[in-house]
Amino acid sequence: MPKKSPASGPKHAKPIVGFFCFTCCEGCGFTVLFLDDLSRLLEKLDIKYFNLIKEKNKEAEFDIAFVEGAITTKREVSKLKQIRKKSRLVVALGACACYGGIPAMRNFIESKELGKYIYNQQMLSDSIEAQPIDRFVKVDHYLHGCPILKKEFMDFINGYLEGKKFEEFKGPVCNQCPRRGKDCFLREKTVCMGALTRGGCDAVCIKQNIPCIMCRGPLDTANFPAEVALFKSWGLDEKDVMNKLSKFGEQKVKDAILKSKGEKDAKKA
Amino acid sequence: MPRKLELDHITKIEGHAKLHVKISGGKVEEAKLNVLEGARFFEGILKGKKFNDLSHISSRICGICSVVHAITSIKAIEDAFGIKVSEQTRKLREVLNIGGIIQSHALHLYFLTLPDYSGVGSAIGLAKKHKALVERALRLKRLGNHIVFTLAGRDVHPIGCVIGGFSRIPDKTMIDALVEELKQCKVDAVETVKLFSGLSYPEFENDAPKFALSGGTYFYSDRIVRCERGTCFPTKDYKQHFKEYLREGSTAEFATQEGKSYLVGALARLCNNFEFLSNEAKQYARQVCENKSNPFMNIIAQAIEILEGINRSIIILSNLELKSEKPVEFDVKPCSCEGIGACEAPRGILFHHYKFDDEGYCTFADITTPTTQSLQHVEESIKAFLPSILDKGQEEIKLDIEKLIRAYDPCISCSTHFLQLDWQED
Repeated sequence: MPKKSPASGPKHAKPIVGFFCFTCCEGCGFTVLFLDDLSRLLEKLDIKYFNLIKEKNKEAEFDIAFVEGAITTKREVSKLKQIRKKSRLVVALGACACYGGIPAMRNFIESKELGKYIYNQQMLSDSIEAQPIDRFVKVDHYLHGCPILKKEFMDFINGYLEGKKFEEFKGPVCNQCPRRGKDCFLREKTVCMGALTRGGCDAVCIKQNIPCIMCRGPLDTANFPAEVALFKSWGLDEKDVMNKLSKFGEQKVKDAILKSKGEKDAKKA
Repeated sequence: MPRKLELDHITKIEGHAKLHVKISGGKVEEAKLNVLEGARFFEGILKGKKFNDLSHISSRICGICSVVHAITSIKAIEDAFGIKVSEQTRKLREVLNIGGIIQSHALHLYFLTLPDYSGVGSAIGLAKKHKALVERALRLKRLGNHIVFTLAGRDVHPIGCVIGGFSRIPDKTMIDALVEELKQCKVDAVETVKLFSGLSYPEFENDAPKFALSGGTYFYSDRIVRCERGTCFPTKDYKQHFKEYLREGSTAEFATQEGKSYLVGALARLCNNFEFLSNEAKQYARQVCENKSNPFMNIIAQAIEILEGINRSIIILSNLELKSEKPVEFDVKPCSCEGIGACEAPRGILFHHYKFDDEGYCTFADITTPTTQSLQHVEESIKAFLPSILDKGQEEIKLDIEKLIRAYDPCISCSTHFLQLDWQED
């Protein structure tokens, strides 16, 4: 008889949780440690794996595996696949796990240039393109942003404990923007990517007078070509626009642009 | 017959690294630290980006030192474009940097270090057995977060610290609330110094020259780099003194000064900038400085820095006539230029060096992190420390080595993630 996967087994009364970290800055892990509710979290969850703070980390069958970081080596691919097998839910934490994030920028350094930065042959043979985790395993939920939002993380945990389904925010950053309809950055010809970006962050940067840098990833329904054309009309060159759009995951931005163009072309036809 | 021991990665440090130890005839032949962190090539990805994108990218080098990476990146850009910031910006940046240092030190001391000395294994164990201690830790951690949040809008990857100043000046009520919290946390800081001064550390000596930025204030200097043994040089000449090198089998960089290892960080700051400390901090710092050859003293130095950081922040914020100023406006002049930024990070001196073309694109980036600078000394200390613990059991040896490594508080993500111990014995 085939062994039951944890996904089909019963939930534990005190959920067994693991925090796994691949290639990234560990800022999402720190954001969890920086939670004001941390002591309550430690009471509610049975954290069996968290390298950053635990010496003895146990491989278990996890109710939730939180995964941060992009996948950049073959070894990481196999570790990720093992995590998936043992876990009921896999939650991608932050921009790197969700869309490749900052680490995925290295994919676009010219190979000749990259050679200078490759530190040894062993690395070279194990190294792969930096990619989001859903290129290798099924992801149940995404907690977006660079770093993740404390509130969204707690909403996810509380919802899970109460047995509620986690709903992602729908719509762009603009939907929560305090400048909307008044002093929009775009009116000042300041590059802001709020309209292209998945919202839910409570427009945290814009409240600091800083335009959106798309750390929550591209919004599938956004009109990329129109916005790119707008930025270019202000004198930004193609390279600068693409750099700014693709800081947190170039491939998914390119996919979104292609999709957006495709829809536009289909309308024309 | 050679004995080979493979211990899993060293935990409770920031990042992933591996340690290889070779013992032959009862002697330690080799102790090599290799960092196996997936390389992100920050210096490569910064190249070709516009100047106004750099600080967003470089703060992502590290989740725990994101504040200081952002500040240092911005300082390098300002240096390149000749942007002079206001006195208020300098003072708010100093407090912001202190906030980052308190976040990092409080986490390192209570979550990563204390479990080693109280036999509970992890902060989770600590939370079960020593509730009051953990609550104190959480108050200090929250204080660090609140400082960073108040001044820059987010505890990890700060938003509001920008080229030319701050994108939003907090209002007076926010600053007053912060000063009140700082005052309330002082007793926690004093208790922290007492707690960590009272732990029993191994009697171990392995001295190295200690470097810190000087010429300004304790937490915010950038003019000169000073060594407690007498050397002193202008910050912009750092490349002539600190040489970075790469090693086979490792994605991290190591650095030396005149071919030898050196140290940066809390202990180095305490030894170099003792005179800038408040009298209250001095009374605790004196004994630590006398014991400066013992790397474990870095732990107490961090505790003292939390206290000093609180004292300093109260002074700055209480005396600040807050003006709602905008960041300094500037034009990117069409000429190629370069700039160096330096700042005291939680783990020591951090340098960012950029060059730009006449369109403001970055053509060169060089980042020298504190862990890179201290890493060779960590390795030498492991080698020097091992003979005194060789007769212990494997688990104990492992824990002792990890305690030594953690005393340095290495930040492996910065130096380019887990420490595996690869042990060989003949």
